[in-house]
Amino acid sequence: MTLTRHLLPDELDLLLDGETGFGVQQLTGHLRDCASCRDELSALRVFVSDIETLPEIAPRVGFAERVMHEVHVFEPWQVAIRTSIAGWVPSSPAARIATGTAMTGAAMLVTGAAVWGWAHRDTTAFVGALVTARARDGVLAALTATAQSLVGPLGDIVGSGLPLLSVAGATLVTGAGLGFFGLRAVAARARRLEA
Amino acid sequence: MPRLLDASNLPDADLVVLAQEGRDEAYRELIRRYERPVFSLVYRMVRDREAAEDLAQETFIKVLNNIEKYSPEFKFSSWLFKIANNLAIDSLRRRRLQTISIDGAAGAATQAEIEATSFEIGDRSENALDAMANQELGTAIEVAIAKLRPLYRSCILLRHVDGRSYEEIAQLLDLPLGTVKTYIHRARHELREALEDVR
Repeated sequence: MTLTRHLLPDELDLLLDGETGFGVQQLTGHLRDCASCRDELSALRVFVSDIETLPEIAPRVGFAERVMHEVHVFEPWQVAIRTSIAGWVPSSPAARIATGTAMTGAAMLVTGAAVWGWAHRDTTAFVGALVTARARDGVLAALTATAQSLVGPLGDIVGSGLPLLSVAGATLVTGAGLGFFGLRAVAARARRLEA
Repeated sequence: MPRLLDASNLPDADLVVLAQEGRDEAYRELIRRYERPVFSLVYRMVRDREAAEDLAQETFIKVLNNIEKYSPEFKFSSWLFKIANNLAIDSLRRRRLQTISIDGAAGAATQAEIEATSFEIGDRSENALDAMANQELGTAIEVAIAKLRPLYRSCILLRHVDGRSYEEIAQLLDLPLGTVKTYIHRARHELREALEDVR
């Protein structure tokens, strides 16, 4: 069934938009027979293409800079780590292969040592304790000798060992405190930058 | 140091991922790619160059400072245009800019303000007569678009200047698809009526 009247504006819009739904076939059928409606649709197409060719308008020069001045570029920590590691990777393939080989060798060596240490853990523990005791005695003796030569009688007190342990403990607590508050400050700054 | 990036050939989605990783070049490329379309849309909505500059700038700042919240199921440009359009509509609501003049915005008092807010129609024709005719038609279209009500204006600009689909416009403006179609059809009719004498 064909239409006996001219197409309405909404019907022309449907055809202009390339609609294919229910009823459109009847409209296209009418269009084949009606020169007036064909002209009307062509005029509509020209009109739309005139709108579509409106030029783009540029903002003032330096727009990107002004935007970037207000934008906070934030690099997530995992990306920062990845970027840092990537910075250490050599650029040439030969250097990458050499570095990879060396790293693999080192990893195998460490693994071998760890496996051997675990298999001979009694011996390792004994040797470890011996080495630690020797090292401690050596350090204490060196400190005592240094203290005696620097402050004379005061060195005798230090040589008793107890004050030295107190100083070491105080240093450890101070260092841990500084580390803790330092990390908190870094984290707070990172959060501020992110915000 | 991250390697230098040739961002100009990357699709928007990849640029957004790089921007989320803190790559400055990705941010700049997104701005370079969309500064003109966004500015054109906002300018044609508010008809004031200074206000359009501020709104376009605000659009990019909002989007780029929240880039980690971008959801990849939508087009980046849709998100950007949605914010630009919302800001423009809000601005129009605030200022209730009614008067339309091709020689400058309603509030332009000095010569400098008139120049700053007047339209600059591009010249793409091959000779001077064509250029004048095109400029005249282009100017008439700009004026007619400026006279449309804001939502019709958004719809017609997004559809015919930015080439968005009806579905995208509906999503972008939070309107039902049928409403968008109706608005565009009505806007076209109003424009055709307004331009009858020019053509």
